[in-house]
Amino acid sequence: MAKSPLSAVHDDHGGHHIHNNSMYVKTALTLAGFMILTIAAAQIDFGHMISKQYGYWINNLIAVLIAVVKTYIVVLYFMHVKWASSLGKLFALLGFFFIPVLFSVWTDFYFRQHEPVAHWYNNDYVESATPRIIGATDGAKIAPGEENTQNRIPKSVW
Amino acid sequence: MSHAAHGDEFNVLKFQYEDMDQQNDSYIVGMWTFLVTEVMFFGMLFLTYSLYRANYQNDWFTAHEQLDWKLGGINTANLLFSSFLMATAVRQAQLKDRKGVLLRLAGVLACAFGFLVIKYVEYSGKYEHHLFPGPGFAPDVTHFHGANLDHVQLFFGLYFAMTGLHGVHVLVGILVIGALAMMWFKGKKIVTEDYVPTELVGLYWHFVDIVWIFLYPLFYLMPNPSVGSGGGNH
Repeated sequence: MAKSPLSAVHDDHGGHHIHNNSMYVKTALTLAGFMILTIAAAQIDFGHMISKQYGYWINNLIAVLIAVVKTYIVVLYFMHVKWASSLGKLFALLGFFFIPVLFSVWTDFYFRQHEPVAHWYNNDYVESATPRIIGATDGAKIAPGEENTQNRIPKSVW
Repeated sequence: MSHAAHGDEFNVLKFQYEDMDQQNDSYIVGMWTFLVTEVMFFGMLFLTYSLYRANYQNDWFTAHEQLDWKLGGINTANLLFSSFLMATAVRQAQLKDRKGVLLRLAGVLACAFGFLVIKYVEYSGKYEHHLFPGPGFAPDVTHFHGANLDHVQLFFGLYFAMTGLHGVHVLVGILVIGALAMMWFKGKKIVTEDYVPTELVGLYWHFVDIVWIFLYPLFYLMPNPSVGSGGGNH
């Protein structure tokens, strides 16, 4: 649909596509199928099937991947981006491009645990600059010589 | 301005555009620009969710058991069907089929109301069980199997914030679709002669559907972290 400003040729179809009803029905049925797949995938414990260590993350990954595929289908067919101009496609992509950029904050979350703060060049630095665990031990006094574990991110997360 | 004086000129080429394709395209790109800001708006909440979820896997799993995945599933199907109706309403608008558009928009509105009714049932249940975060947060400890209640409160804080913000979008959708339906009902030429306004409202409604596509598995269908990996926050 994208046309050069110099283009002398104009198509005379009124400026938009009119799709068959069947396209919308097929899209809706595909989405319904993926919805059932999401619910089914959540019942299966991939931790036992594939990997004991990463099973929980595989479950999450599958759930999010299905959601991404569903979004792709909605954007492409219901929102007509498949037939949009290059500019329209670029803007549709732009929003979803910013999501991974936003999630790069995770790198800070990961590396913060290695951040030496209190006494940079001594051995007695605390593990993290910001408290991460709000719980029973939060704010508890640390005895002299005792290791400060309050602000540690639990290893099990990684 | 002289165009406004004529009153009845819709779907005509404005002087700054080369052709109708380009003119319609600029409307649609404008709507997508708004949707980009919406994606970032919700994206920030999803980021917050991911950080806490990773940290408090077990406690969040325990908290999520308070949500009814069947009610969430009904609402997922509900929004999917309303999205389908909205897409076909746009098609009928392209065909200038006034009755077809009105029927489908009425269906979309019914779905949207149904969504809010189910959400109301869910919210009031949580409220009665004192699961709304804040000073009134006082859940029955026996339901949470020793989970840290601060983490449970965080879960419900984000649950109410994210589904609440989504609910506000559904409410705005009802107002906008209602206004659009009213214009179709009255036969206003701005909608009957030009399908683009209907298409723009449709884009908004599909976006609301997309947000729920992510909210549903993330809040209602959590896998149990302690079964497979033995991971968790203890």
